Amino acid sequence: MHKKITPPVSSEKLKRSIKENVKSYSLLLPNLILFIAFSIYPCIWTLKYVFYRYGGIGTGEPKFVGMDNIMRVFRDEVYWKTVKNTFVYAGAKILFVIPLAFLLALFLNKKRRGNGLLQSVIFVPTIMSSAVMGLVFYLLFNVYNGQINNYLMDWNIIKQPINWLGTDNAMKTVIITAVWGGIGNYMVYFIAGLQRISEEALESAKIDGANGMQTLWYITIPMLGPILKIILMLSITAAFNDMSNVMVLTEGGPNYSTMVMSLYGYQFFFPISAGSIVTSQYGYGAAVSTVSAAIAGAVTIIYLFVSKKLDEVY
Amino acid sequence: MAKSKKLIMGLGIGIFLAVMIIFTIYPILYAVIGSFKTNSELTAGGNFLPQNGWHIENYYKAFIEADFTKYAINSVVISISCMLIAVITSSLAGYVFARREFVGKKFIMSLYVGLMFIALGSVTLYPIYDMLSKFGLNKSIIGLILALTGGQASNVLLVMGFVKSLPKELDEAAIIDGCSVYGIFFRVIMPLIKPILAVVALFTFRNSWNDYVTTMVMSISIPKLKTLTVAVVQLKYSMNAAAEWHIMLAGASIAIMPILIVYFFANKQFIAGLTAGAVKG
Amino acid sequence: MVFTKKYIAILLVMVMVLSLNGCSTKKEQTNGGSNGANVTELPEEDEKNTSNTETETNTEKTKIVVWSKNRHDADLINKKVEEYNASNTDNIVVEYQIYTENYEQAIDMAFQSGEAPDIIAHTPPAFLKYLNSGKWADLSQFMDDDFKKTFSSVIVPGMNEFDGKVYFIPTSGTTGRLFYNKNIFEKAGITNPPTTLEEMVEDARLITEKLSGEGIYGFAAPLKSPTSAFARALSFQAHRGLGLSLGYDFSTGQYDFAKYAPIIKAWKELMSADIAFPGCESLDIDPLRTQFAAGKIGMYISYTHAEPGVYANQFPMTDAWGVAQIPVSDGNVVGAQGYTPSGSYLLNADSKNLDASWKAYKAIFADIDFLTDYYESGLGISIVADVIEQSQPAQVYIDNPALLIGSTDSIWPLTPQEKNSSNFIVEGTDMYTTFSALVLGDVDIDKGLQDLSDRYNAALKAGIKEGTITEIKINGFDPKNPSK
Repeated sequence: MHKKITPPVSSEKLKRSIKENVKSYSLLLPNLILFIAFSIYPCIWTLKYVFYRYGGIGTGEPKFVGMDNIMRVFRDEVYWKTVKNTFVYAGAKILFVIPLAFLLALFLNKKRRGNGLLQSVIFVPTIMSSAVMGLVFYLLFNVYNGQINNYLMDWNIIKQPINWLGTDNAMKTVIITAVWGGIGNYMVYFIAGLQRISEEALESAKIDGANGMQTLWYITIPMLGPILKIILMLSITAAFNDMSNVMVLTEGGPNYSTMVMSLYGYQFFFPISAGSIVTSQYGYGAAVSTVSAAIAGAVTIIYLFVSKKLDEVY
Repeated sequence: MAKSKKLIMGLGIGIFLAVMIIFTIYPILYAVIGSFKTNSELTAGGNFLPQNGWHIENYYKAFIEADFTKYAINSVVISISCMLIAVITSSLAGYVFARREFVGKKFIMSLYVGLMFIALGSVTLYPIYDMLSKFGLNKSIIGLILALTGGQASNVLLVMGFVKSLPKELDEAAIIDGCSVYGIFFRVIMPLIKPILAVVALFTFRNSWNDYVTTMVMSISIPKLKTLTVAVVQLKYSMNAAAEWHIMLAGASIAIMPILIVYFFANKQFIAGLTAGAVKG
Repeated sequence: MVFTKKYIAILLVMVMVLSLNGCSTKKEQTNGGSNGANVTELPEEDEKNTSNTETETNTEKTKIVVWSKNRHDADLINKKVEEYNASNTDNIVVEYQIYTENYEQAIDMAFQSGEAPDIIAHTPPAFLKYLNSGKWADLSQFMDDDFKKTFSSVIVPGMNEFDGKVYFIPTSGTTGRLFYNKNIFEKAGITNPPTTLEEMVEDARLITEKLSGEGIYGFAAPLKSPTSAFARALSFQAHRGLGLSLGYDFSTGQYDFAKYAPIIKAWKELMSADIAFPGCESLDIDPLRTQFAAGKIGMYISYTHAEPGVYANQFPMTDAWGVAQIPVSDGNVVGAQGYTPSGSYLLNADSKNLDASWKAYKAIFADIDFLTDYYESGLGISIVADVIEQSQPAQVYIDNPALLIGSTDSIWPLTPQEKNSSNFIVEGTDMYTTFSALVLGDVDIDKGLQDLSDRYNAALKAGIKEGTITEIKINGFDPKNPSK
């Protein structure tokens, strides 16, 4: 605004300003090109195709269909089942991961021999490929030959093999593997948070006669508050986007019982498993993904709103 | 009374930690140890260790029959290239955002931040593939590397935050000394942001090594681009290996071992870093 | 603004968290960097090499790329291709590539990027998807009289011939049959394989009842992928038992899934906990085959072309297995069972070397001696008269005549969905997924099937209205003679 009011700049000043801008852009450009090509363009493409019907090359030109795809998303019962699955998955994952990660951080934060080693062991799943581990879990939880059932039967805990990947249990199994992969990350976040709490606060609480539980409840947790909020936020976004672990372990089945919304949108573009044949519906897939992104975004906004409101209350 | 209570607490914590450790490492140990078993042993019983000797030939089979040498080279090339591109481009962009004013900065920055909140997921791989094939890049490893490196928005913002935390006086002193923008970046900023660049590097390396979906999609019609991760997962669908669990586990071990080794060596400093952070904090 | 602030806060925490391990990762990074310099050059060299050879062969030889999905016949075909490459006088080099994973998708993406191979092994989904878009070359323009004579019996309108254009030449066929373990049947005291659906359920129940203590179960299906499980079984049951193809009734021109109820009910029983092999819901076909080979499964339904080779080479089986026709309700066969043409190849109409493609195709894949070899090795069941005549069929076909395509098998016309696969948009789950939901879940079967018919008919109606789907109705349609 200011610039427009000021009298025309001298040509020298303009030259210098252009030069400075060129310099800035020369540094920015390598990344900006990648960003436009791999982040902006695909988003615009997807948003455009929400309004088209298109099945890929050789299937006719894209056809503008207005809001048809969006309307279809809203009456697609299977899609809303996957939305429900996503909430169950994300909710359960967070519900287990956050307390376990917090407890581990609490116990392993103390400077004691061996704690460092234990921390790095707990962190190991974080560096693993969720797809490769999905394959390993697929073998572990296999109904018939899987080692888990073998152990349980050897130890006479069960008589019949448990159908870990069947309709009734598959989601639980997926959640177990997701918890396995998630704890380490959040433990490290919690440890970083715990280390920000000043020793003095803890010391003075001790001097005031607070016991361990009281210190935890009245000093540690409140002081973790701001970081806890961010950790929760990160865990929500992560849980809503998880896909490749489900893709390899159960392929969304059986009977859509583990299909999450991101995978549901994906299957209209690419096959979930080798050998599955999809009728490509790029327009509808784009619509599903857009609605899913909106749902995930809404959850994040609601969360931010609620956590802010809670701030005001306390 | 207090003492016994403390003892019970300690015992509880000990059991909790033990359970968590077993929960964490059991699947990995299963994969690694299982990769030395025979197929029948794997599928038959609940023995933890191989009973009929350690079958190293499973690895030989995976490397030769499943062509893993080729995929391992791909994995290494792709991960390291992604890492280098990510470090270079995101550090430059992060610096520019943190320190310099230019036309359109607000708009571009809001795009970077905004896109972090829009998660359309893997469906965007279709337009990406389409675009790469228009440039003839879909057939080469370069296309896959670029697709895997991606927009880098989070890395750029990470670097930006770090640069912002550095005192501005450093730049100003360098300007007085007659350094150009590039001079400031390479001589002053770059050495100072090494810690965050290391983070960007490690995480990009890990992500591209472990990626399944992007690499799988990009290599569907060009199998020579497959990485270890994709090749291992696809063993599940290949006629022979689907039933050969020992080969699958050998494959899985081959895919997770390098990253475990990287972690094993970086691990000591990792813990030193943690304690150092604690002392400073 | 709130966002940006929040965001910066998150970043700061991340920076804080991550910078803790920052020092530790430094070493790893520099290591990686120096390695990278050496290794990154490799693929570029690789690229150069391949492009070099490409240009070389372009000037000297014509390269024809063939894609296939099949691994079971790879040895024989590779041998044949090598022979051809060494001996042909047209300066043609054939490159035979096998895509076991995501074959149809690979074709899609290759067309998308304009790099499709010259010859593509036929699979029904790939063929049908591009049938209406001119991607497949019309072979009749190349066929001489000899060729026409040899293969006249396998050129069938509605299968490979459309509007006088011939797109592929099937040389073998595959269909679904019941595979059963003779030793298990004997142990359970069952003398003959079941001929009715009811009998099949009872036999399976008996096996599980008697033998589940030994880990042996009556029936299994690879339900991890409902398409894989039902396409190999239920679609053939519908041909034989209902006279419907993929739910479509050619005589009325409507989808009528309600008639599937008895079959679905039988499947529901077969899949119940007191019959089915445990874990069918998460079973792929190959793990199922290993369990069958290990003598743990009484029976299952699968394709005739693959199973014999599997139990001879891949998963050698000690128990004796047998093959029988697919049982139908009350043994009442109302239709001929469809079979799928196989051993056939499509020529890419956009190929720069279409003539050379044809030459290579004809010399390799339509060679009678090769086809004889193929049949005699038990790799596929020949449907070409000249081949059948001059060959000594593999022993497995003599022992199990039910493996062969017989008089009760026929080609079915394409349903509207097959004919216009990419324009036939069904809302909600497709038929196979719906079947799986009905078989495994506790949804009302009749209601679910009615809903399925409604959705398919709605898709059909919408497509006809839009002009993207042609109406198909055959007056006086006889399911026992569907190709007439």
